[in-house]
Amino acid sequence: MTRWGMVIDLKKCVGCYACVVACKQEHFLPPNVFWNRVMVSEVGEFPTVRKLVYPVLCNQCKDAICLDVCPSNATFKREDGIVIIDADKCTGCQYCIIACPYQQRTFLDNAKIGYFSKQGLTEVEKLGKLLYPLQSGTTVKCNFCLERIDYGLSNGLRPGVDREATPACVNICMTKARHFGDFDDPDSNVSRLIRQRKAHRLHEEWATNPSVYYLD
Amino acid sequence: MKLYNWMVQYTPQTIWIEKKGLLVWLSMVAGLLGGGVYLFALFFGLKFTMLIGWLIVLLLKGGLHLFHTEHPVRLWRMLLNIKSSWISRGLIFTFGFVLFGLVNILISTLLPEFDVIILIFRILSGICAFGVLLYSGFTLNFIRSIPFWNVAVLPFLFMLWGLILGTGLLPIIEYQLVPISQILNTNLWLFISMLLLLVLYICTESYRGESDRKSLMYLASGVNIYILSLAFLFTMVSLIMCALMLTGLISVQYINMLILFIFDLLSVLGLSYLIMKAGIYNSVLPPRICEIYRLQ
Repeated sequence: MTRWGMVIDLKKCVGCYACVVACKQEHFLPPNVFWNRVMVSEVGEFPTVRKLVYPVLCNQCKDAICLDVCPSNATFKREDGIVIIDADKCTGCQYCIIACPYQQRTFLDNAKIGYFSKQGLTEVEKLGKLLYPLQSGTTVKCNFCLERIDYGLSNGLRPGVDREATPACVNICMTKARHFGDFDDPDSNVSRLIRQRKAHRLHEEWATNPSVYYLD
Repeated sequence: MKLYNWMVQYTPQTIWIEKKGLLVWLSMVAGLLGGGVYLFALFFGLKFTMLIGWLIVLLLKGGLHLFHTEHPVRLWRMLLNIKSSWISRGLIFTFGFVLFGLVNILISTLLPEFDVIILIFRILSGICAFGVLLYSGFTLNFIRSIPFWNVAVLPFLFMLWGLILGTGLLPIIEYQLVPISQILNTNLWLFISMLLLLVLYICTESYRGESDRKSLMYLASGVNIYILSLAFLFTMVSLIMCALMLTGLISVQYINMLILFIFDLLSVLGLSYLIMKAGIYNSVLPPRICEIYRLQ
């Protein structure tokens, strides 16, 4: 079996937001919709200032609560552990948004809205609507760039190793803070990192079994 | 520098209680009202009131759900996950109630000689009406991310509200046909049970965790404190009116019963609104990180 997951090295992340931009570009996300967020802040006073950076995205939980609450089975988990939403089945009840303890789901009010409201959609935005047709009145969230993973696997590539098969946020990361791979493979880069470094997941006490680890 | 407050702070849910989300709260209360009055009408065998309860659930509750959902034609899909989703289970109860309730009303009106069939449909529609009363509480109770809702008493609190509304509305519709003292007695005991459950709920919440305490604090801040005061006032007025009418200090008249129902309704609306409003999420980031931010 395969279980795709991500490891984020908090010591390497500089909070450049490249992953946020890459994600928005990859999925042609409309304004105010983020599948990838980075919280950046500074604590302390000179000369003991410390920068705190925390990237957050959908945890693709193994025991996802959003999966249980979805009344229409629009949210489902693939065999490789990625939790996705079938927009054609989503009724827009927003129960999953309330139930997600990590608050990583967004309700898409208007998928047709563009970045430059007065001049209509740009050519790139029009292309985006064709390539990545998001539906208004449905819930959206990070899907680990599953189209890249599927494309890569069907062409004999390895997600997490070959760029074409790896999520956009991992590819773009200039400090190599993000790593992607198979948690079920003990020899994968992510499994090795978890073993070697002190890794933690967000709120393990909620028993959701997230697929995103953080390295301190 | 960007700081997402919801990642480090306790943030109230707004999706089901603000803007279009208000429809969810109203549909929950409509379900309690319709289901509650139907159950009591079933007990006293009042067909017209059964019809009123059935219509409230079908038109008011169903209509509000339809207005809330972004894709009404996909509503049938919400019946597909009864294995784990309380919305699915609730809709099964609602659809069952609409179906069995209608058959019950039709058969008992048109074919009163079919006793056994009427009894079967009475039992089925009664079970579904009970499900309609209970499921709203379970829908909230299932959400682990909001600790204030994730408590066992919530479904029973919703059920009691439904029964209170049922006893309140019944004499308004069929004043001449129902035993008023029995209804008032039931209303009084339901109110006392509800208050005890509410006290138990608040006491438990006060020591369960930081997020629960924040929820209670949130109830006692801003505009919420006024709504809370009003809801408490309406509850106490209902309770006292009920007791005074039972003891004969206030005469039992239609207008008094109407006033009692209005206070019942306002009390339930206020209390349920506050419970929806006080649903507060835990912070997303680990507590040690959040602590650093909060100290700034």
